[in-house]
Amino acid sequence: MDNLIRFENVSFSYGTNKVLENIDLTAGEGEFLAVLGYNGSGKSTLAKLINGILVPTSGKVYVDGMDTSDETKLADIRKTAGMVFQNPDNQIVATIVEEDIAFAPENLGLDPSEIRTRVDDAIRAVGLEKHIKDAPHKLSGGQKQRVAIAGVLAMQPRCIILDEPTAMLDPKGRSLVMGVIERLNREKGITIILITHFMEEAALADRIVILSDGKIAENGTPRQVFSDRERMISLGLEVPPVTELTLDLIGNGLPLEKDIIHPEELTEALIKMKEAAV
Amino acid sequence: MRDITLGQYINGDSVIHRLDPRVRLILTLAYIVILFMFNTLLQMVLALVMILLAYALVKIPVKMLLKSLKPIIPIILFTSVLNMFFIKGDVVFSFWKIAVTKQGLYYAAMMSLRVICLLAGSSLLTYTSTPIQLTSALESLFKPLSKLGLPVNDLAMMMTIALRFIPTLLEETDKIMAAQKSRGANLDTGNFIQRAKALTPILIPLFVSAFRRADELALAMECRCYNGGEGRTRLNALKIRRLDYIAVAVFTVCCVLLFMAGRLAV
Repeated sequence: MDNLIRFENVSFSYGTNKVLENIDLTAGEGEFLAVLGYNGSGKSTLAKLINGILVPTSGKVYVDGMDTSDETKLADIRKTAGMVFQNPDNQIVATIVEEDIAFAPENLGLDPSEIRTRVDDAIRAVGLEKHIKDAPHKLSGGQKQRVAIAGVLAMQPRCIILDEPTAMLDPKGRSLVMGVIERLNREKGITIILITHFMEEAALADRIVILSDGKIAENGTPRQVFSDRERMISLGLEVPPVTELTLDLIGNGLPLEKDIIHPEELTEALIKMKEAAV
Repeated sequence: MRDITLGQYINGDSVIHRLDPRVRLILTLAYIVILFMFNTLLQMVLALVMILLAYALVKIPVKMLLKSLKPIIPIILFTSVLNMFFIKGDVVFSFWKIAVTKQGLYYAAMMSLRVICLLAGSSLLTYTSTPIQLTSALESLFKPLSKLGLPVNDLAMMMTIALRFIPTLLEETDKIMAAQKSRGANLDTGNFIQRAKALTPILIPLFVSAFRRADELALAMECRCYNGGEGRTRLNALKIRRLDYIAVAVFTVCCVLLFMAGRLAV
């Protein structure tokens, strides 16, 4: 995989307060990367460094080979790497769903007919065709967040950075939003960088990066990362609920593998065990 | 609070709804201007007929129009009375030191009709246009001024964002009020000053939150390549169609007829 996003020895500080130190990180084209870390570990700062909202104090960040400290490239960088924030209310600009989704292509100065195509494609990708003429404030949190994702999609980005997109949503909204994110990654090959507090969401990623104290503490597949429960706890995190349950079952003498991270895996293993017992 | 409707827009598909909002705006302004150019009662009555016909086209019930006229009844009465008593001329009847003249009655009727037509005309605009349509109409009409350095696009953007956030902030006000009440704040009793003071613990969190929202929104807009109004295109660009030309033509003919009616009356 080509490296779409590349951090080269990046440090960042607000005044004297060091937030990130010597970060080396890459994300390949089409990769799904989850970023974990306790509050204040520098996750959001990392996200804002990617599309040039913040510029590193030292080191370089490249998006598709473009240096984020080069102001002439900023529009291209933001078009390549779109960003979705936590609070859907604070990123919707217009009073009608379709006009909000059209906001980014309008900024890019595209032709009205091209904007129309992009808006229709984006709204279909998030499954909100029925609400295209609605007022955003009448939608639910999960729907609003999907409008926000569609608003970024309309730029046709190659990478979407999501900064805790499900933190303010109810369970139903959360699973719908995660469904959209997964689909964009699998079907459209869009690189996803998901910053999250939910371990079960991180388990869906190709790779997990854990930040602790401004440094990269772990960088591996979800299975590798979640297999060491003690290490996760020492980093101020936990393992997904299903892994927790599996470990508990193992502790009670059930012969299960330690590296189960998806609910379906546990179901499958238990069914197998039941069949073997019969 | 969630279903708050801004302005008085009535959803519909009448001929007037389908006009370009710019045309609607300009015709309304033109109508208001000619109201002040008419000086015979006959013209005023015809102008009223004209606006009532427009209301018939939109199928807005007369009741609604009457309701919107209600607040200005005192103004109409006041000006009418003044006109009746203070214009000198042929006395119709008099009592004590006050004389009501023929001319006075004539002008009172003129003034009342003018105010009614004014309000009916401007209400028709807000009944048939959403705030967003009005914003984009103004943006488009003031575009030439951007050459003089007036940030027309930015002003329109601000207007749109303000409209977008009114329901959000109303909802938030509700939440803050509930939160403060649950902590024992007394918002509904006391005299005027006490109640005004009680608003402080609502307004301060509301302002703080509004600023935080503004900050986040600015960031999100930047992420979506917003770079001021320069070089922006629009999804739904305003377009003058045949219907708009017809509307302008019909309006012009009506105006000419009304002016001619004024000549006849003299």
